[in-house]
Amino acid sequence: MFSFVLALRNMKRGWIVCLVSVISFVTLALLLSVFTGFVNRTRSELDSYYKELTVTASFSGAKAGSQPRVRPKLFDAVVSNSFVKDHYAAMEKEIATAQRIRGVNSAKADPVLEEYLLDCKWQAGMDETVFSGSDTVCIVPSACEMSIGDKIAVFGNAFRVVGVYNSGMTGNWTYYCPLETLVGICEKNGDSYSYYSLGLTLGDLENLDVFKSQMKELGVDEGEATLVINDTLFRECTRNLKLQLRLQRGVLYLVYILTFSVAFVLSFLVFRNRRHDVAVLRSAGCPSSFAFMSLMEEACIYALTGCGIGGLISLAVPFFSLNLRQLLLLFFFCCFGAGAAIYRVVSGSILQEMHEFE
Amino acid sequence: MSIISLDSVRYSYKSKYQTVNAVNGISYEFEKGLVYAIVGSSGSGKSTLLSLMAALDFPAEGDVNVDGTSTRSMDCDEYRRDKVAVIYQNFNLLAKLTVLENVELPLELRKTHKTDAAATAKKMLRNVGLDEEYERRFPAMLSGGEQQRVAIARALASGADIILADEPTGNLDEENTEKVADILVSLAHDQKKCVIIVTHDMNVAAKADEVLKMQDGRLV
Ligand SMILES: Nc1ncnc2c1ncn2[C@@H]1O[C@H](COP(=O)(O)OP(=O)(O)O)[C@@H](O)[C@H]1O
Ligand SMILES: [Mg+2]
Repeated sequence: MFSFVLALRNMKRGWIVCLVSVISFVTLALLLSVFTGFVNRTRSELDSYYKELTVTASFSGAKAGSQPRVRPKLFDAVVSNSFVKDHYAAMEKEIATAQRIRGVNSAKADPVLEEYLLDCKWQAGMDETVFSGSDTVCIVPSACEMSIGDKIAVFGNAFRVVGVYNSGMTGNWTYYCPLETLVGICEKNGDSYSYYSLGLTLGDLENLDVFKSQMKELGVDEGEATLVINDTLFRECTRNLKLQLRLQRGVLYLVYILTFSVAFVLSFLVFRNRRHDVAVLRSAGCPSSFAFMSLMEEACIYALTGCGIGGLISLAVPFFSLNLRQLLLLFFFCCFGAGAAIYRVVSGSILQEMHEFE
Repeated sequence: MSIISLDSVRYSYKSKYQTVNAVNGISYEFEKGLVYAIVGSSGSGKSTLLSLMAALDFPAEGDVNVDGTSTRSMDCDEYRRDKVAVIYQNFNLLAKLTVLENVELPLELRKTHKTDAAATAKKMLRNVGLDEEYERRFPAMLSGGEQQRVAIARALASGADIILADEPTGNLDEENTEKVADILVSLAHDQKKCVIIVTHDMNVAAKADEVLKMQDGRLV
């Protein structure tokens, strides 16, 4: 208890040193929090890019202009990949000569269909969202002269006509039905099939490279389909920020080294200055442990106050940000510097310390 | 029986550049109830010898024995707190403590009750001629002679059996020198303490029961 009284008295009567120490520690804490603030700002800017930008990918044929052939096994592996947030796909099956059925899960999967849909008569209450479902329904070209509500037999299934599009062409008929329906029928009948269109919307953009290497492992660039990832714009947008972040992190490490060593040296010097006081105390029979305690209490109060005020300011000012771990490290180095100095002071020869001041 | 006995005591200051042999093999016995004066030219090792007797460090060779026990094997904190009081040549007052607090320090370290400590401290300050107005001042606000008297009061307040005084009158006028010398002599003769005074003042040395002369770290 007396050690604490002594510490308080020292602080009160050496208030300039006390103030300078505390202000220095606050400054160091703020320095840390400014630079951490820079890093965090860049980081969150980058994160918002990752969240807001989209990257799409699609399969194209092995030869330029040709259609891809994506086998079901590859399709399943790609679509179930965690980076794939959304996909559209299309497949086709020959029914008879000049007559075929295409399954799509979205009109986007087939550019020709997109055009047809501009001029399509739908059953009341129906629209292109049927493609994302799994009903046994289809739309047919006007050339085949069927009307809404008619049924067509395809591979032993009766497809109900829910829309008629204006094909403007005769002789070559294409029906469009939901992808899932057609895939189901092929699976049931044991027919082989493949997708001629597969487009992806990707997420988790930060780790896009992982996706790329996973795709490479799946062998997407071999054989009849090639994956094209449209990430040029995305890379352009994030490149500068990524570079900036790397730089700021590097600087932050330097700031760590700087602040921690300054904290150490500063409190070392402050308490190194107490040599004479400690020597006098010990010469009067004050145990070293007691002197150590008293000075350490003082050092902890400086460090605690400095780091505390620095932490509070960082909380209050929006741009500053400081986490507890950094604050604790700073506190540790403040105390460590003082501890090292005090240890040297209390363990030295009293006689030599005293004579140095003569 | 002697209270302090020195047995071929040696001590040296080692620095990077040189080694100074400050105390060079001193043997002597000091008795209770007597006043000793140590004289000698500056740099002859007088202060170092006193410091060794105060157990501020151990001799490099030989032994300082107090009541037959070497300082090496005793609890030095306790010895410095309870048995020995030193008046330093450079006063060694604590700058951040007031005059009164400085004098109370040895008593507080001994866990004396606060009011008793204050009363004793005040009495000692009066003994050396410092009245109440000095009590709340800090050492930096005092002249050399006043600081010296505070250092003397602090040593007297501790009530130790061994008083080691390093040029205690170096900064005092004749009147105060006389007063302090008389106090020290009476501590030895009336209270049976062992008083050892390092001094340049021949009048002070004349009051001692024994005078020792030091030169180059030896008694001559
Ligand atoms: N801290 C020190 N480092 C090196 N030498 C010292 C130190 N203190 C004292 N000395 C040397 O030790 C010798 C004895 O010093 P000291 O005991 O103070 O002598 P005195 O008190 O008789 O004047 C002197 O030569 C002095 O220069
Ligand atoms: Mg001296």
